[in-house]
Amino acid sequence: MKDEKQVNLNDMMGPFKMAGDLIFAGLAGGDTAKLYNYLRDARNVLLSPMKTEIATTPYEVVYEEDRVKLKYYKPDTETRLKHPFLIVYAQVNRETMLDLQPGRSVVETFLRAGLDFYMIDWGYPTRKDRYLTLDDHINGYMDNIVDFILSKHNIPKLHLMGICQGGTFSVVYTALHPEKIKNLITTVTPTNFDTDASLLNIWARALNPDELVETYGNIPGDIMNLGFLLLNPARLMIDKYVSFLENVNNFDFVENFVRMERWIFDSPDLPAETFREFITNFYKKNLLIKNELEVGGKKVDLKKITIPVLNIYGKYDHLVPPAMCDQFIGKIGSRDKEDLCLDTGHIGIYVSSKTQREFGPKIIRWLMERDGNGRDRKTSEKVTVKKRAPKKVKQK
Amino acid sequence: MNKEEKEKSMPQDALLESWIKASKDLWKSTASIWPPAFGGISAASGSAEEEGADMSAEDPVKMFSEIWQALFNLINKPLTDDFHPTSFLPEWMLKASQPLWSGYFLLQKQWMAGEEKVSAGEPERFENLAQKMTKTCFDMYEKEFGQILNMPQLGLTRVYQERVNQTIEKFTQFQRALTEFIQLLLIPMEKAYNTVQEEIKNVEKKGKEAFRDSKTYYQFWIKIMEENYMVLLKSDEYTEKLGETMKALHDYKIIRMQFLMDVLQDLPIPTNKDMDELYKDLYLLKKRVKELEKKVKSHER
Repeated sequence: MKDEKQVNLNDMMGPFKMAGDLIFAGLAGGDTAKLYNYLRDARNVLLSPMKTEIATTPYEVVYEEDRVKLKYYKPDTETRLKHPFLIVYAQVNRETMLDLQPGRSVVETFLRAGLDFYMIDWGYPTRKDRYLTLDDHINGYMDNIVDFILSKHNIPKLHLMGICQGGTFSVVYTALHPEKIKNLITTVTPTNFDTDASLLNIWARALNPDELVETYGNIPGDIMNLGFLLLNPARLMIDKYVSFLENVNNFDFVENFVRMERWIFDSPDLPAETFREFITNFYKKNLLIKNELEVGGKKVDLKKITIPVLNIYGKYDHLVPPAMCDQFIGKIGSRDKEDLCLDTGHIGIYVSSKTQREFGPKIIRWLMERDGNGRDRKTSEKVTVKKRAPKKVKQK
Repeated sequence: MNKEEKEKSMPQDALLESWIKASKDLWKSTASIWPPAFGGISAASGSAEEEGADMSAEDPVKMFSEIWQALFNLINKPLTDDFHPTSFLPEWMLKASQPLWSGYFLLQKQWMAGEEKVSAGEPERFENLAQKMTKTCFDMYEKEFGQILNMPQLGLTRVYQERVNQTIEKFTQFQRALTEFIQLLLIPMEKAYNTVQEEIKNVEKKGKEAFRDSKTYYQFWIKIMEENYMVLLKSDEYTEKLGETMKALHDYKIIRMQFLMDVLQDLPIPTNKDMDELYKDLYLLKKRVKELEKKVKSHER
């Protein structure tokens, strides 16, 4: 028998109601008793202590130069790779995305498989970093870091993995310094910018980077984020939070949601000159794939990349769609090269449970097969850390 | 102003004059009503003692009434009485307020036209109405005040005054661009809302209950809105408007920075320009040191 107190909220509303009213009515199925329970649970969830920290896997900072840090992750077990392994993340957002939470962490997957690796943390650029160019980042910071690792391990080459814009940096670096790289992995890496498959490409071509740099100096992370939100305002600015509202009484959901929010809106500013160069030479002129790019006065010739290359991208990536990734393999000089398109999006490739079973293990397998003879890999204790002494960091 | 233009502006001028007269009469009659309650100007005077006791409460009201009376007496002078100082003021006021009135009448016209459409069963779309109103307001600004701000300045403070005027001008242009950009962004929302309402009507016409399940209603709305946004965000119109807005922001921020530098130059605070120059020197020095460091290391090997 229907409780007298249970009033069907839908009956109280005509068909011409604002969506907001109906969403609230729908949250509890139009049932006041359910609505009361829902609100009580939501309150309990929101007021209870949560573990929303990200990047909690312990690491060691082994090198620092200006704002840039090098993190070193070491597994509890014996390391399986003979060559050191370096991961380069983009300057947009933070590398903490690779270690979002236990169970959805690429860092965890690599460590569990016995891989030790280094990861560049680009830090938060300030006003004094506005004049730093692509050359300063690639032939400066990146090259210094590679030299540091090679010297520490007393080995001539390392494995390099680039993510998104960090992948583009890695491609440029490998073409300019092929003698230092053993294997290259690029993930969701834009190399071809002459496509309308992503709104970012359309907008970037329409924008005047000189004006933006004059207006802001370093490009604020918030402005970048606003641009990303505008890629799909209906889903990213409305639907996402409606979904949060629908599940606000679910503790695990809220915890995961808050973690993701913390990562998404943790956006460092972009150094002004690097931004200007990246928009002009990549998005507007598409120089990289045409072998016409110059960095630090040196021509970037993709044919000089002859090492094994694994290129992974997402089929449903709206930021770096397949059209921006799938020409790269055809332009390099390598014989051992592979394209892998996964059924996922830009971030899903690293955090979705389904892709976790595919993405990490594939990289581990591919690297192990091509690790070869490490030729005297050993850690030289004599190598001194540049600039500042290394320090242990448990979490961010 | 030629004869034709004069005739055209007649109804507006007549309306304005009658409004001023009506206001004057209203305030005059209000002033004459006040005395019993507040001891106003035309009230019968009491004793000197009483007067003195009420002075503090009475004076501001009295002064206010007198100012209004004086103002409306001035306004009420014949407009044709040229060269008379008291008649010059109302004419000046009339002329100064003319653009505002013209703009207001234009907006009024647009609202009326909108209401006519509503009564005819064809409501004006928000996108059209809002765009028209924005255009009218900013066009009015550009035609009248914008021109004043762009007048050449003279004398020792010319540069500074021009900078202030330009800051106001660029700020307004940025506001215009931003308003138009936001209006553009709201179009898919309005379209989605209208589509959903249409769909509900259609379903109802067929005798079915319209979206009793709120989730279905919401999902339909968000899907339509997403599709509309995709169309808009890929359009040339959007990229053009985005470019215009960014350009307007750039122009405003540059002139604002120059204005702030004018203000800061007399204070012991470094300007943006000073800091940027310093950072550039620091950057170049660091780069040079790093290069030398590398050279020294390679020699050591």
